[in-house]
Amino acid sequence: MSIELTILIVVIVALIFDFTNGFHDAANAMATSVATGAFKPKVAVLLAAIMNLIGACLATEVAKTISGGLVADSLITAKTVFAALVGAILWNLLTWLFGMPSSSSHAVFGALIGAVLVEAGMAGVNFSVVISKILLPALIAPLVAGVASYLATKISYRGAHSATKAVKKRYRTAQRVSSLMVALAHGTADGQKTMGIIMLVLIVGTTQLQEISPGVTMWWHAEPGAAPHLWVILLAGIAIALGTYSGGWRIMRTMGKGMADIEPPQGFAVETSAMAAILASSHFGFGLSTTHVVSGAVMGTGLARTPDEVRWGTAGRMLSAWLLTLPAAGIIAAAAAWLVHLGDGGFITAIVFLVVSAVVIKIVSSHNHVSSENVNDSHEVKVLAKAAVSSQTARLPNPLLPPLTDKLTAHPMESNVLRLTRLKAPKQRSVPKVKVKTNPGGETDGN
Amino acid sequence: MEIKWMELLSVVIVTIIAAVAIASLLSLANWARTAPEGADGVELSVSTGRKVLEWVAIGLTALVVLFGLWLLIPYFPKPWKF
Repeated sequence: MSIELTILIVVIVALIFDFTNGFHDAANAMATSVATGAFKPKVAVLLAAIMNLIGACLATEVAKTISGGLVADSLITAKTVFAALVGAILWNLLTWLFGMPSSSSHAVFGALIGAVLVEAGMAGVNFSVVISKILLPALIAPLVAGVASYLATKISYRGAHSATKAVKKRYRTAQRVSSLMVALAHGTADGQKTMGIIMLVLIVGTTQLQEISPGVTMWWHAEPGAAPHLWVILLAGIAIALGTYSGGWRIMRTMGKGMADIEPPQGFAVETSAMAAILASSHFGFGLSTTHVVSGAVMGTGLARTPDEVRWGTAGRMLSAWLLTLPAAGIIAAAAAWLVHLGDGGFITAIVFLVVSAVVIKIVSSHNHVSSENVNDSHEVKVLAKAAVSSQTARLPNPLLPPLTDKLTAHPMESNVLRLTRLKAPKQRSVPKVKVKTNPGGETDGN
Repeated sequence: MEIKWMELLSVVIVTIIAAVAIASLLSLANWARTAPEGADGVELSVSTGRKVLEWVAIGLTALVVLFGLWLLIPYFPKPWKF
């Protein structure tokens, strides 16, 4: 297989990974906004797509290494990257099928480890970096964001005496702003990841071509350390934006409704905490996964109202998905790397395996299709069995909620009306005494 | 194995302070916006002081958001590191 064809295939697969990254992580920015009604579903993903595209185009320097020291860079070839991308894509699709938020970055890292283990054995992997750059951040991210979100939620609910129109509008606006910022942050971080992968493949290809035909340069020629080509930036940005726009509704449902039922002040607390964690971590050089951060923040805000609000079963399944990400993506990538090692036939087999697996996953997902129209209808994502509709699994009303007035006739759990309740019971007001005059005939006059 | 504990601690502290600060500012603005109730349950009008407090809190929240955008966008210069 010629170098150009190999590079073309790997670049296309990298863009497909970028697409899956987009729909996998769309929920990070927009799930809470969709769940609370701050944005309509289609508007949410459109805006998130635009912000992701802008963010990707703003990224001025790609990562120096795509592995961050995880594996020996000299071992990373175009075929290693291809195998890693196959592992990451299939893991992204599998977790999407089950509606499980998981880190796309960790999927790439795990897949790279798997591919390099086949290439060079244990010597090619720096396991201390696995702990410091993957496991420790994965543990810290949800905790930090959860605590911040918990505190922000408690403070938000103490803020108003009553749910006036202006207060409701303000929380919705704040939630919209913070969601858009999370989408922008995601674009700058994850857009440059795929750009780095594509540039690496172009650099490796250029080196190989120079060895075969010295002095020959192609239009995709790239030197080590060079800034990404404009077409690389645009394609990576468009791929992630299109992926975001496609919605990833299964994960959107889990993130927005699967762990806890949330209201606009909670959505605001979640996105603000996530934004703070993302900005702080990127500036202190300690990368945290957006997925882990937002998931932890959702659990924190659920805990802040009552512990019963958090669906621990879903949280447990999500934690399992996080723990499985590295080994699972690694195993799939290792299988792909083994196939690629067999030669061109193995390379083509790996491509066919990827395409067939993706089609099968898509067909299975159609059993319980989740879309923009029904994303808020349930908190469950089922693969084969039918998901329960929200009203069937409605919880008992919060005892701190005021009773329904004549104006509010819908069930509390189905209402989009914001209820701001104090976390302690309101003071009992004394009822004014009514003097009752008794007429001489024994009749009372209640004036 | 190199773990940057100080950076990790900085992330934890800054995240919590930033989230609490923004939530507090918005909460303060909302508290200033909503009028207290009188003895008979009728809402009183919002005083001028509360209105000023509301807009100061909103202004500070907006400044924090703009600061976040400045941190986020790589083109803007960052003369100092935290």
